[in-house]
Formats: sequence, C-alpha cells, structure tokens
Amino acid sequence: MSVWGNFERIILTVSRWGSYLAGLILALMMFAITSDVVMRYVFNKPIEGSLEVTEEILMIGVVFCALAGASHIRVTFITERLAAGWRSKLRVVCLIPGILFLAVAAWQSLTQAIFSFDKDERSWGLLSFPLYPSRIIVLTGFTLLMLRFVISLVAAWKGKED
Amino acid sequence: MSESTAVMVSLGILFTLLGLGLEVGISLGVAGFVGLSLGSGMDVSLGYLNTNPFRHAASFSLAMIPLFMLMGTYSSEGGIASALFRTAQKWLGAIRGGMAMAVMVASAIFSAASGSSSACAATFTPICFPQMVKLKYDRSLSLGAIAVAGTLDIMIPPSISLVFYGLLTGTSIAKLYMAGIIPGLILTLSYMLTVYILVKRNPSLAPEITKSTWKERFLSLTDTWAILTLIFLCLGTLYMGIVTPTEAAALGAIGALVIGMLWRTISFSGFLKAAMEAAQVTSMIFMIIIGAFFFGYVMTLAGVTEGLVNYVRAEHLSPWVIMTIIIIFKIVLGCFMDQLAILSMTIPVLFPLVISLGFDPIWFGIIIVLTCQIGILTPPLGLNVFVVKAVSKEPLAVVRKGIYPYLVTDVLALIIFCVFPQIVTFLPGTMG
Repeated sequence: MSVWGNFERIILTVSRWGSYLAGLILALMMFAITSDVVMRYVFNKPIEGSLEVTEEILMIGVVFCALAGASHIRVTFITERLAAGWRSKLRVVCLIPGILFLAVAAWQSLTQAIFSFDKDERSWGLLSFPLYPSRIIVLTGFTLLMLRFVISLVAAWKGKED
Repeated sequence: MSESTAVMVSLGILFTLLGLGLEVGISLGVAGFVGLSLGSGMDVSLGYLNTNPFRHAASFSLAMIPLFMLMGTYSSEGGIASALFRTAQKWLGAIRGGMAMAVMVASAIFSAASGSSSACAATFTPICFPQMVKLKYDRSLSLGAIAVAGTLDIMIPPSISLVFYGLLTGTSIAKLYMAGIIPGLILTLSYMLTVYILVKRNPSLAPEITKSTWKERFLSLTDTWAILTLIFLCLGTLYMGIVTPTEAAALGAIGALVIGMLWRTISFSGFLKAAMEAAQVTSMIFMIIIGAFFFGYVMTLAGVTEGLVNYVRAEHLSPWVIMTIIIIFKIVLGCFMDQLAILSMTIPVLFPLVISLGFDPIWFGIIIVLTCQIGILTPPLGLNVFVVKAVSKEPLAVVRKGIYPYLVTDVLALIIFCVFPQIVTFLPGTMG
C-alpha cells in the first residue's frame, strides 16, 4: 500500500479508537455522577472533587477524543443539486479555510499545553490536579480532525465523495 | 477596518461556507476568527482560541448533553420504545387511525426519556411502520405520523434544543423543561386530532381493526413501569429539586441501562457502542457550540445587538410586529438549515432584542423551539423526513406528503401559544 494509503488508514483507525475511548469516558462519567448523587443523599458524603474531574477531565475527554470520529453536520441542500464534478471542486474550496482554522486552533492549543506544563497549571478545588493532560487532549482532537479534513480534501481533489 | 465592516465580512464568510457545505461548527469558527481578527486584531482572535474551546467543553452543566444522548440510546436499544408502542396500540388501536395516534402517544412519552428528535423518529420507524403496512394503513399517513411524532422530542423535556437555548441565553434550563411540558401535551393531542380529521375525511387511509379486550389493555400496562421509572429519574427528581439537570441526566442514563440489562436487550458490546455513538453526537454538538460562541463574540464586540435594539426603539415598531417577523424568519431559515446552527447564529443577536421588547425569556424559548419543530419537517432540508425515509426505505415524496397536514397544526399551535402565553409560563411559575 502507498504511503498515503497507510497514512489514511492510520488516521481513520485512530479516529475510530478515539470515539471508543470517548464512549468509555462517557460511561465512566455516568457512573461517577450517579455515585456522587447516591453518596450525597444516602450517606450525606459527596465524593470529593467529582465536579472538577467531570468538568476538566471527563468532559474534555468525551468532546475532544470523539472530535475526529464524529460526523459533523453540513448544510448540503445547495451542493447536492450540483453535478458530481462541481460538488467535489466546491468541497475543495470550502475545506481549505476549514483546515487552516483547525490548524490555528491546534497551534493555539499547543501553546496553551506548553504554558500549562511549564507553569504547572492546576484545576480549582481541593484535588488540584495538573491540567496539561487535558490540554493535550484538546490539541490531539483538533490535530486529528484537521488531518481528517486533509484526507477529505485529497479525496475531493481526486473527484471522490467522502 | 471598522467593526461593522468586519461583521459584514464575517456574516458573508459564514453564509458562503455554509452554502458550500463546510461543516457547520467549523464554518462558524472560520467566520468568528476572520471577523474578530479584522475587527479587533489577530492577537485577540488567537488569544480567544487559546483557552476558549477548552472552557466551553469543560462544563458540568453541559455534561447533561452526552448523558441525555446516552439515556436516549439505551432506551431505544433496550426496547422501551417498542414496549410503549405495544401498550399505546392496545388502547388506541380500535379507533380508526388509532395506530397513527398510538405512534404519537408512544413518541410523546418516549420523548420524556430522550433528547433527540431524529433519534426518536429513527427508533419508531422500524417498530411501527411494518405493523402499520401490515394492517393496510396508508404509507404516507404512517410515515408522516412517525416523522411528526419525533418532533415532539424537541418540545418535551429533556430536549437538547431547550438546553442549547438555555445555554446561549442564560435562562434556567429546569424552568425551560417545565415550560415545555404543557405545550408538548397540547401538540400531541393536536396531532392526534389531525389524524382523526384526516381519517374522517378519507376513511381509506386507515382501515378498522378489531378491538383489544380490556384485560389485554390493562395487562399491557405492566411494561410501562420502565418508562415511568425513567421519567421519575430524569424529570421527577429535577422538579423536586433533589438534583441538578446534569445529575438527573446521569440517573436517567443509568436507569435506562439497568432496564435494558434486566430485559436482556442490552449486551456489553451494545453498552459500549451506544456510549460511543452518544460521545460522537456530543462532540459534533460541541464543535457547533465552540464555533457559535466564537461567532457570537464577534457580534457582541461589534455591538450588533445594541444597534438592533436601538434601531427598533427609534422606529417605534410594535413588539408583536417584530415577533412575527422573527418567527417567520426562523421558519424560513429552518427550511434550509440545521436547527442548532440557526439557534447558535440568531439567538445571541435576537434574544436581547426580544427581552428589551418585554417578552418573557422562557416563553420565547418555547416559541423558538416550536419553530425548530416546524423546521425539522419543512422541505428541502427537514431532517426528520430524511431520517424516516432512510430507515423505512420509502420514496421521499411519500414521507413528505404525510407531513404537510401537521404543518398547519404546528402553525395553529404557534398562534395559540402567542395569544395565550400562560399555557407556557404557568408551570415554570410554580417552581421556586
């Protein structure tokens, strides 16, 4: 298989595994929040730090791990009326600014992740855990989605539908 | 560049990219980035991207979105929807058109344990459509009923659209939920009445079916404990003030999972697959949220909303004229665009205007959500019509023909809620 073919396969596989991971994190979140409610009302002992962990680890995990595997909504009522050739040309045109935006978002997430690591940025509350791993998840999510867009761009360039 | 020019460029980019078919969340992001860079400088927009995507996702209150998605998936996988339809069918089946009415009732109740209308329609199509065809129900009547009944999920809490509106405007989500209940019930009854009128005018649409005995009817109620438990977990506990909306969603999701496991309809791989699908939909919604806030920030910085409010004040237009224009504008946009995209583009601008005109924020939320319900049916986009078509594999025209009568019902309901706003505001008013 060509280098490009391998690249494509790896990105798609990683995106799919990212979605499974996001699913697992979501299931964990369901159990964590329910346990907290039960502990609070039945035993009057809320689980310490469950709020911060849900916000700054679990939610970030659910949203950004699945970012590249998710199918994002598009408005296609104009393009679906066009001939296939035009459709793929217009797809190339609109994907370019999309890729640039995701690249900038990934770059900014990278600077924030480095900053977070250097300055030992921590969560609020009693647990006070380091935030740089969550920042890295954001960076990974944007980067993977950008690479998926690049794959779509190449496919559209060759006149294929994605 | 002046701020107003930056806004115009930003809007132009947004509509161009949306029209070209770029993903909605990314289109909003690009438009926001360019608008903010032109208006306030590149540093400001880079700084915005530095931390805000993280901040928007890291929210406990928004964790209810994936959890309600999860509850909906477990409820449909777990067989709660088919149990509901069986019961509704036993009670209503004997009336002419009763099967279509049973779809309405089952969807309305199911909506109280699900947050997504297309998921609701996709769940009920394979359960109801084959049975209705077997009983010689008209195909358009059957599919139209399923597509329309799915839209009830937008109004009846828990609803992602209501959460989204609450998030964009800072309105209490618990109160919005309560406000959706009575309009949801009224819509359900109006849809059933629409079926009754359709069948009365043309009895060939729905043949008469033999009655179920009273014993069969009461026996069918035994399976409803599952849905009643779920409704208590995700709405009852919230109304009683024991839990926050996010905690209610977690209780509901776990409840639906446990029921599915008791009924042996959810396996371990089913459990994982449902969680993965819920996470993917969540991710898609959050990409729109991130983009929408970015875009909204440009509008706020440039003072678009203030300008609009001042303009309306200066022109002395009647608030109801403005409201009518807003509603028509939303319905027209709904024909072409996704509902979350419309909400995220228009609400940050329109909400302050509507509030300055003296309208109730909760009432406006329900009206806006009803326009979303209409938008999810109207051609050429109409998401639910496509979902039902895809699942049933019937031609698009057959489904479309079935939904038109209900659009009239929806518009009539919209007028009633405008004339009698108490229908909407009464229930949330009873909360603390």
